[in-house]
Amino acid sequence: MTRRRSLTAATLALLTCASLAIITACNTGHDQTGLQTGIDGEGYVGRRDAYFYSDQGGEPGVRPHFGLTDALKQNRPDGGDSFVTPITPSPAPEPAASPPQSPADWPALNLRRLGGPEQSIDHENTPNPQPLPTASAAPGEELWIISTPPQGDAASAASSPAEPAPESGALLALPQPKPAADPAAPRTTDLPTHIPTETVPLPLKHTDVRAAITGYLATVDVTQQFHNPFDTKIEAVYVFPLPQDAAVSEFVMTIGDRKIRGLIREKEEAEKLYAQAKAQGYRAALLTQQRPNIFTQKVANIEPGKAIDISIRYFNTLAYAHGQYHFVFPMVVGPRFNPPHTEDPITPIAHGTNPTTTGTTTPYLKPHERPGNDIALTVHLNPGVAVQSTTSNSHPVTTQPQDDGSLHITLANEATIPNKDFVLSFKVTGDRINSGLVTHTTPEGKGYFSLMLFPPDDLDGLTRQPMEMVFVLDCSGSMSGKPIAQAKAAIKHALQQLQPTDTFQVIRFSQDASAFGPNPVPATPENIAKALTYVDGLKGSGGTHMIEGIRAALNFPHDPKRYRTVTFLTDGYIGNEQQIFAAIHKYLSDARIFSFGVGSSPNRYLMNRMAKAGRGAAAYLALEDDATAIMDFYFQRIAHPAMTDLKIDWGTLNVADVYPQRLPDLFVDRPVILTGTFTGTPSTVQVTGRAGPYNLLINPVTEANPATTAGPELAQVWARRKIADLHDQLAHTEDQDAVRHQIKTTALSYSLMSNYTAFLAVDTTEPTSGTHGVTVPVGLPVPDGVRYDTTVPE
Amino acid sequence: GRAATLFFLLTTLCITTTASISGAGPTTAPTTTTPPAIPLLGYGSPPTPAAGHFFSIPITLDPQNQPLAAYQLELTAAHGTFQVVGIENAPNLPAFPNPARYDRTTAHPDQSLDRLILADFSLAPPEDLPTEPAVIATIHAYAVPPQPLTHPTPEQLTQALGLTATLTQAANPQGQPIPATVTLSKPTP
Repeated sequence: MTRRRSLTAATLALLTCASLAIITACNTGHDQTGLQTGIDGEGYVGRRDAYFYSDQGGEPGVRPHFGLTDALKQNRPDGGDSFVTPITPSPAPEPAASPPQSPADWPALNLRRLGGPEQSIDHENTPNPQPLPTASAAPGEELWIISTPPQGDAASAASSPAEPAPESGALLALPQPKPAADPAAPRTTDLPTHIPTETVPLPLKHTDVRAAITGYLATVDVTQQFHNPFDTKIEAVYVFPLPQDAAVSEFVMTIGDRKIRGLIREKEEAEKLYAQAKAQGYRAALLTQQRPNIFTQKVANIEPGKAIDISIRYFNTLAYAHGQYHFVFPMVVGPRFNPPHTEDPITPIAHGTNPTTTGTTTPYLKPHERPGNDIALTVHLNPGVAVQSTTSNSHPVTTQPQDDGSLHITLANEATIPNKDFVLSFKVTGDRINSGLVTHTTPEGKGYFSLMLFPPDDLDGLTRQPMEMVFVLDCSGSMSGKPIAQAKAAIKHALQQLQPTDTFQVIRFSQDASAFGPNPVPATPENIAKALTYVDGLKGSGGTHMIEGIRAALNFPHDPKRYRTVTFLTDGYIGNEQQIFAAIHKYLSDARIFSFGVGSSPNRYLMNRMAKAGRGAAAYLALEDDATAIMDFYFQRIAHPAMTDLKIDWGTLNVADVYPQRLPDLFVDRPVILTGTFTGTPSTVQVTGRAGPYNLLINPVTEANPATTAGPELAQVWARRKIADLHDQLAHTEDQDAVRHQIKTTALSYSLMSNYTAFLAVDTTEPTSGTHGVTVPVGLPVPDGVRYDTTVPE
Repeated sequence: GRAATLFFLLTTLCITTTASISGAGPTTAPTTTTPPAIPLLGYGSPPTPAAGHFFSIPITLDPQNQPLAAYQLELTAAHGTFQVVGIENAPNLPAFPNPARYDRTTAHPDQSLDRLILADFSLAPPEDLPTEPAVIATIHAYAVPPQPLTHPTPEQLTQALGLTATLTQAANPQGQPIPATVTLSKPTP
């Protein structure tokens, strides 16, 4: 054998060994069953926080009046809600059995657990925890579950072919990849699922979520129960998500019967006071914001065996799309990729390692480790009109009707692992939502309004222009497995919906970006067949340099005869969101961006802001969603021209500080929500716009009645939107200090969390003994479907 | 070989020590009489030297034998640094189970002198409303008195700061004003 051949053989052998070593060490996340609606109902991305009017109890109310040209009247559909297609949910899956707990000793921890598993923890009058059973696997041993292939009818009904039976000793071997029977069918991950077996004691014992939905506003109370199961004093640090438009307005620390309300302060000041309190031994809690959807909770000086509860209240408005409202509660922050020089990065690390980077770190548990905390969630649903149906395809729930007509919905499994977003969708009876104005006036006479604009039905009958479709697929490591399989299935279905007059391009990005061809190509059958093969070959690995994808998708000449639509499919696990928004602002031109959040816990803040910056809309594709159905909805939306060039005649209302400042387009079945302040009395408001060659007119309902009057929360909703708009300006404004000051001032005035304000509570009654103890971060589960080995550096 | 190994170890030790002193590297373990038990899962940080005093002040409201259903009061300091870090609920008033609401402004641009407005109301039946003097809230605060004090008591700090509580309004269940008084102390037995 020649020297070159021997070197090549050695290299191949080395790579093979390395690959096997990596593969044997990896696991997929815990496999959850059940569908998820996966649709973000926002008509205008990032603007979900508003009230809107609907007919009550079947009364006709006042309908919007459409002024149409004669040509449009000829195309008017006969009627019926043609653009609302119900999603038929799958039967709710069986609740997962609780996995075995860890043994009494945790050798990975040098902290001695108080008295072993039988020791009760003093919760000062709260119930003692149950003792933990022994484990069925030794610490550190991975437990592989090889699923058996389905038999008979179940096999034919299965969406993917049966797995080949593993050979002897195949527990540590990679199963042979199976060929997909249908190129358009989503491929499951190549790795077998497993169930985490080792429970890791963490300072967070339990999270309790109670949501009350009244009308279309959700008020949510989140209580985090921290405790100290160790033998020395600790500070707990917990990084967690909330909805990106959540107006966080209350913060209470509870120690036994005592409740201490925290105050909102400038962030630096709050951090300084917290550090002082911690150093002097006082029990203290600090809540800071790193992103609109990522927060850090710190609780200092928790004594051994003691507990401290932290309660947060926020509210937001529900999204609406395709005839349904959607309540979303995110449960875990996904592992982010931070390109070099990312400001304030969010860095994933392995739980148990010391952070060595600046910014925020998210410590992830290994696949065989189960967090010692769980989550309980209840939703009290009382929208003010009869509820026709409720669905949660993300988690099994139980629904109990109440005497007053409301519904009480709870998670069916009390030992739910918080590793995927909770999504509850519900449909109300009665006529469809109408455009309308909702107002609130403070005792001091300041008025706040919310205007919801619903696109006219007649947009459905209009034909669309030829399109230039650009698909951009995230091929980074976090997309590996189920997420990229879903995204590829969606793209392949979309390619087959194109018309011959359309052109298309497919771009992939991870460490860099590359494309199907040098330029968009006509959507001929031959080109589409080649593109399907190209998409089939794409895999997930490497970092997430999304900026490369943005540039590749937008920074090339636009075909003036076609309507450019850029569709991003990504989980959004990046830390440089602001850089992305700046790039979109720079390169957008006449294009429109539609963002698909893929996976069980996508970065919804990024998805919504990208679509907002790109004058498009966001949608979500969960792991077990029907990708073709989601894509059909999407094509229904973009296949009809939006109502563009919106102009509003406010009549006798004197409005100011209206957000969004630039009026967005109206897509079919996607409302747009504006908020602002006003003086005067609302009378007639008219909205005009264009749809292709047609002129359109909407007259929203403005008459004052109880349905159009909102509570004082509307003021904070408006303030939250103002803060979000100011934050967007940071991506492209030169006067950063002035914008930051405005954000800070607004947040302090309305007692809201922001990047520059924080909540602080200190119990100064008496300091705890000893020093401030050791900081213990709360380990996080990797989101369902995300691979630990490709996303968390060791 | 041995000299090279020793040189490498010494260099590593110097770099680690320098990084620890400058604060550029991983945070150091806290100064404590007992070594930290979890060098891997947790980490310490140098304690911040104390510059002021954390203390708590009870606010007592005397409704003068009338049922108290709602109140609003204002808390201000005249000197030094006064920053409110918590508002605690009334310990023995089931009619007021939660901490009072607040509105905080600052008298100084540097955020060092808080002016706090507290307000709360109760929908409890009139027979369950307090009629006798009771602590309605406890304020937790951080203070730097104008003149240094050694281990001051809360009363000493209250006096040094010139802390005052002014009752804006107190009302009965019918919304009618009642002649209540407020003091910065526990009720006298």
